[in-house]
Amino acid sequence: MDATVLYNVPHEVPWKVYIPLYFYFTGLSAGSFILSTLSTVFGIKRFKPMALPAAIISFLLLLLAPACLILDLHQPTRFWHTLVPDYFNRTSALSFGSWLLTLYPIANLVYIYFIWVKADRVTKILGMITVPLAIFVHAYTGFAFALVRARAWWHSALMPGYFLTSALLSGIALLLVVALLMDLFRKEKLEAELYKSLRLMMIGILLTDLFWNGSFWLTLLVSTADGYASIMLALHERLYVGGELVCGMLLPLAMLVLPWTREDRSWLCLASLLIIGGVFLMRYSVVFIGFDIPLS
Amino acid sequence: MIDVTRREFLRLAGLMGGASLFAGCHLFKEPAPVPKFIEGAPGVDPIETLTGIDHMFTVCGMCPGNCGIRCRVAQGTLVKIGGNPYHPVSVETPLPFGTPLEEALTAGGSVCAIGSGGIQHLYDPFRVVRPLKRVGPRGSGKWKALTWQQVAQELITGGDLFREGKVDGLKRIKDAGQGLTFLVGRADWGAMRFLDGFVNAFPGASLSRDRAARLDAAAVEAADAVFGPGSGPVAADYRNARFVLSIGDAPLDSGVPLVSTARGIAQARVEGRSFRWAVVDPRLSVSAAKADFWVPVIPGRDLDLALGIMRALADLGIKAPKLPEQALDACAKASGVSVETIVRLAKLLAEAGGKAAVIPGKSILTQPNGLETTKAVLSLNAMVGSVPGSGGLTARSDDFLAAVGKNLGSAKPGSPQTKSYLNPVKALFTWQADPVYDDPFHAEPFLRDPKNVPLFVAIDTCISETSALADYILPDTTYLERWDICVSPPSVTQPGIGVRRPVVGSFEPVSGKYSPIFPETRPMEEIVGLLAAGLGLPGFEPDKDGNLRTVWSFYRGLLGKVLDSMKSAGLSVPSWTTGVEAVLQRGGIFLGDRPVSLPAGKASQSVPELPKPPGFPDSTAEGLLLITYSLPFHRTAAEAQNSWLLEIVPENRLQINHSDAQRLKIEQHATVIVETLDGKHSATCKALIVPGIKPGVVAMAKGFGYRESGVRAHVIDQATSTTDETRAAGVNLGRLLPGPLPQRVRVRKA
Amino acid sequence: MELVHADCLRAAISECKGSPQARIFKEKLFSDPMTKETIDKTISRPKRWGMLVDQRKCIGCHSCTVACKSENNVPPGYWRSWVKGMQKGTYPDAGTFFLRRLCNHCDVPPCTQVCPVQATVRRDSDGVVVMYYGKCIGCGMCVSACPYDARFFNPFRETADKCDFCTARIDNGLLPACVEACPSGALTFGDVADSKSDISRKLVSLGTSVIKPELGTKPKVFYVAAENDLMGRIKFSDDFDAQVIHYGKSIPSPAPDYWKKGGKK
Ligand SMILES: Nc1nc2c(c(=O)[nH]1)N[C@H]1C(S)=C(S)[C@@H](COP(=O)(O)OP(=O)(O)OC[C@H]3O[C@@H](n4cnc5c(=O)[nH]c(N)nc54)[C@H](O)[C@@H]3O)O[C@H]1N2
Ligand SMILES: Nc1nc2c(c(=O)[nH]1)N[C@H]1C(S)=C(S)[C@@H](COP(=O)(O)OP(=O)(O)OC[C@H]3O[C@@H](n4cnc5c(=O)[nH]c(N)nc54)[C@H](O)[C@@H]3O)O[C@H]1N2
Ligand code: SF4
Ligand code: SF4
Ligand code: SF4
Ligand code: SF4
Ligand code: SF4
Ligand SMILES: [Mo]
Repeated sequence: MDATVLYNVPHEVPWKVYIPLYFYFTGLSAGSFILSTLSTVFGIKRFKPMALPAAIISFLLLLLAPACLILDLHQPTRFWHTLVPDYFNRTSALSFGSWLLTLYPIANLVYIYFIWVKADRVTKILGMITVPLAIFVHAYTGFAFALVRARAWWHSALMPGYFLTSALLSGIALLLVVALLMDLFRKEKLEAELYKSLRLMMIGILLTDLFWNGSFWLTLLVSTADGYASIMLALHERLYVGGELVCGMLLPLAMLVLPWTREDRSWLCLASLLIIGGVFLMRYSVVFIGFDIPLS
Repeated sequence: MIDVTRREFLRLAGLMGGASLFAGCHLFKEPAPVPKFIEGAPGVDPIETLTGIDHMFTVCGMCPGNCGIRCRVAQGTLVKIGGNPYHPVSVETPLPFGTPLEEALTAGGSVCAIGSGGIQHLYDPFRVVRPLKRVGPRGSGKWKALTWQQVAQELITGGDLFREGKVDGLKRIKDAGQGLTFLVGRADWGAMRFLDGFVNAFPGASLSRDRAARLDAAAVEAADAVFGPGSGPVAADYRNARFVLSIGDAPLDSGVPLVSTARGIAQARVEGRSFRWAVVDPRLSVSAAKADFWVPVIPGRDLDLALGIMRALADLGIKAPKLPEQALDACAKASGVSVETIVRLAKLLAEAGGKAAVIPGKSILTQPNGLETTKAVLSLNAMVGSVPGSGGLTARSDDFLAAVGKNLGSAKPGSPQTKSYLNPVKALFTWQADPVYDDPFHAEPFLRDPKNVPLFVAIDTCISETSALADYILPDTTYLERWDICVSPPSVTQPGIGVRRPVVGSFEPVSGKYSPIFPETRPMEEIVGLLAAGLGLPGFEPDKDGNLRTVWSFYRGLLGKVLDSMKSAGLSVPSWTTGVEAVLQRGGIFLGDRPVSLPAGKASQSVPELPKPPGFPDSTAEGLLLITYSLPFHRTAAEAQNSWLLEIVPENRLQINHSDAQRLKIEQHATVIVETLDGKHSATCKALIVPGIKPGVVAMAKGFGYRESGVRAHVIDQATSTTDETRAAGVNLGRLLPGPLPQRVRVRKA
Repeated sequence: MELVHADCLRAAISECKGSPQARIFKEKLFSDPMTKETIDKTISRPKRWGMLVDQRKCIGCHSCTVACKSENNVPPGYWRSWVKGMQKGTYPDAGTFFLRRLCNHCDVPPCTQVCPVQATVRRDSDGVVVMYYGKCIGCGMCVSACPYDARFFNPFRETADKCDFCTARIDNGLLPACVEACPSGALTFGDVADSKSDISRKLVSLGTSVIKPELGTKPKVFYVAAENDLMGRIKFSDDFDAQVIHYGKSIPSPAPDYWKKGGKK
């Protein structure tokens, strides 16, 4: 059927790149925090050397994340409105998120203090309290999208899980790079077992993420017109296919799995860096492919 | 709520793009960014609708529709234009004239997109706000600001005004008794009476009208020829008609006024009466899309179609005039409309009888042979017994105005003069006319050469394509800052008049002195009055205190005469309106429908002799036939300056049928070149491939591709103005093709 | 926070003491022998403002668009109200269709659901989804969450913005600007909770539809004879690339940038 649009108007995308950055930093932070707790809370001793650097990185990232969010606000001086109890909106993921983002850094700071003073028991209890906070902080960003029924690309039950695992993934990758750097400059070297565990964890999560992606594809391909259009658009999107999928997931996976690269620290480092970039691209494509389908 | 004033202020500041208004037009300032006209209001205050606000009822001037409008003026700034609930165009059931003004506050009325956008016309940052005189050659864009005293002195006495040699002043021209032409574009009844007075008093002066007014006059002539003198122009009475056949007329696209026309058609179509509508148009206009039948005719072949319908009517036993020899199937072949369709249209017409209406549009009138075709189309009405007032066609109801015109003793008839402004004269004045945009091939070279017109004065609100060539630009006020007495178009059946009055600026009731928002601008009447007084023309002399007659006193007097004439015509004008105040406050006075007396028996005999159509269209001819049309929210150049309207569609695109596009390998939205067959002129635009246009035909909307009014930088007192290129987008068909449409063009991919 | 009808009128009266306006408002408010309680009762009967758009009558003239722009001072490139139009078919069987769009004033609004500070809420008194500009932090969540692209960031106010059914007008007994302007009478505004209102009667006698009913947003803008391919994203092609990838090319209206740059490329 021949048809021609006579009149229609464009609708501006309300967000800039700060929003995916914000989600990204929040994820990185949550990811590295959880890594930090592996020794302090879950008692996996070989992660002990990572506990403090991971916690500190996590805290620093947590300062970056809200900064990005505030940068994107059109009324940055009003950010405190989110913490006015009277304005709290119990149906808004962002309302919960704002509180989480306030409580979590505080808990994080206290936690760092106790690692620093080596009060292991207190650290463990604090860690136990803070882990759920970290998980929620990150899952909430997934919910912020999943709860938007307007956009087929976001409105998926897989979203929070996907956000969480990729947060962990980026956290681990970042820590791995930090570990390599520590090894470079510190006298006491980290054990090889640590690297192996990190590597295996990354492989596991990469596979999970790929599984999420596959599930997305399959469901969207047979979904509504908008859902179908989103996935097809995504598959046309170089940043998504070439960036997120190939460079951010498949290549690092290969590097981590293939026998002639997996033992090599440079490859490991490269794989981690690719993952760190890939996870950012994942945030980016989630946000902006969502806007590629006009709704009106 | 306490800080209404502050909020008010913010809103107003936003509306006017900051300080641009108070700083005067930025044409006078250093290069500065074009002020954004509308800057998004801080909080709309509910109180804003109600307090500190004046509601002024007046008449729209954005098109000849003359709808009643209600202007919301907040502390001196016009913030909103809506419909006037007292006006029969704005609302189906207008408030009775006696309704107190306060009660009208919560009543509203309709207004079209162009009418609402009038605010942007008033606050156009490119308005001329001081008298300008050129300091370079004509059209060089270099100007010097003058005072009104200087203007009057220079124009009256003349001299070596431009360092190009001696130029006769108005005094000399007057004494010589020849040589002044006043070219008037769209003007209302009251202003025309004023100009009649001026031209009559100026020995040897003549009034000339632009193409628009000449076309209007031709439309009246055609209707008078068919229905008898004084009948025209005619319009369809959608509320009563049973079958309307629009031929080259697109009432939902370019209806005048769109407001009541659209309402009438919507009600007729939707609210269940037996109303049928066919639209003959090569293009699927909105009207055609909403009609029951779309009849895509070959452009320029409407006479063949009219003849065909006449033949078919004759076959139905209806008395036909003497027709040229052309059989029905020949008519069908020549017009591109099938015999079945023609017969069907004839049957529908015959069935509707007196409640049929066949309406020719301006696109018929502008064709070569246009007057004859228009008469032929109109006589289809007469054939089936439809005359103005019989149900299908509306009848004029403003004959009381003609009486006033006569009483004023105008030596020259009020009807538009056919004298062309293209004859060399000593001095040319233009007002509300933009012939250079409209007809650049003739007007531009003529006006550019001082030998043709040694003294060229434009009275204009902005530097238009025409006034850019003038020697002097005298800053006019807009329709929102002037008085006028306005006649409604023929589709309005309620007898009455609209009265225009200034809605912004300050008015001193005692002296009758009006100061517009830009202090150095003047209503045209005041400008002309100033010059006329300087020349000592009779009727324009100052009073014993040396004061010139105010514009206000002219219109108050005229309005009084009109009201008297309405009374003598038997209309029940309430006696308390004698002070004219109540009429002014309501933006005019309209009285209920008046039963019309039919011009009995005159109609069916008066079918004029028809010319023979010019043979068959050449189907092998090269190129595509270009036609033009109007968008309902876009008019001519003046409205192209309105961002609210340009936002919808910023440029005109070439509508082309899918099959033609395929053949020419043109993709949707591709850039194409349209050129004349001789290859001399061309234009570049985007293609819009649509199913709703006859193959072999391409169409473009009018009113785009402006070259002035902010598009080009001007130097005024050494300061260069900035530009706004949004106003230049698209193509002015007038610059592409000399002569009337349809014309053949070649289209190719750029 | 909200001003109900009577509050507005009272405020108006005190604001314009002695003016002719004050007189009518006073008359309006006190003409019937109403006690304070009855006034409050009349006011508190919850209304549900709604709009009916009759696409049979709509001629795509954009009078609504411009009236809204002007009434609400909407900056160039942004829209509280807009009209979509398309032509389809194959010559000579072709049709032109319009869809007049605005905020749906959803009874279950996804935009208010996501706002972290309740800066946008559905008013209990009349169901109008309004913005409290002073509260809005400008996070853009509601703009992303509206399934109808009815929201935008107002670059001058720096907050989210949208059609508010012209609250300033309706709270004072006027019709919304677009409804008043529409030349063809395609728009009917009224209380859908009042079975005697014009709109309610039309809702039970005409077949109406809403946009994306499957989302459960319960729009209060109802359409008569709306063209299917215009409800939601305009469907003008079966070709995926044209329809999805290059959709932007089919939009004639310029983006805000065009105006900011004065049309310069
Ligand atoms: N391609 C194409 N061209 C066409 C047509 C078409 O259908 N297609 N139609 C033709 C027809 S029928 C017509 S009527 C013409 C219309 O074309 P124009 O006559 O050019 O258009 P108008 O809008 O009447 O504007 C005339 C001038 O009046 C000025 N003006 C507006 N308001 C005021 C005011 O208050 N004071 C003063 N001093 N000036 C003011 C405007 O700036 C403008 O310069 O176009 C003709 N040209
Ligand atoms: N919105 C808007 N309204 C306007 C105007 C405007 O500029 N904008 N201008 C006003 C003025 S000044 C005038 S004169 C009137 C003009 O208004 P109309 O008399 O309606 O004339 P147009 O709009 O030029 O053309 C009407 C239709 O004729 C079709 N047409 C073109 N060529 C032919 C042909 O050869 N045969 C047939 N049968 N149809 C043809 C076009 O496709 C178009 O749809 O509109 C007035 N109203
Ligand atoms: S139709 Fe529109 S532009 Fe023409 S007079 Fe009426 S409101 Fe003004
Ligand atoms: S004003 Fe009325 S007819 Fe015109 S586009 Fe809007 S809804 Fe349709
Ligand atoms: S249409 Fe959009 S903005 Fe309007 S109420 Fe519904 S979700 Fe909110
Ligand atoms: S932009 Fe404003 S109204 Fe929208 S969700 Fe954010 S705070 Fe709420
Ligand atoms: S109701 Fe008011 S705000 Fe909403 S679209 Fe109409 S005019 Fe605009
Ligand atoms: Mo015209």
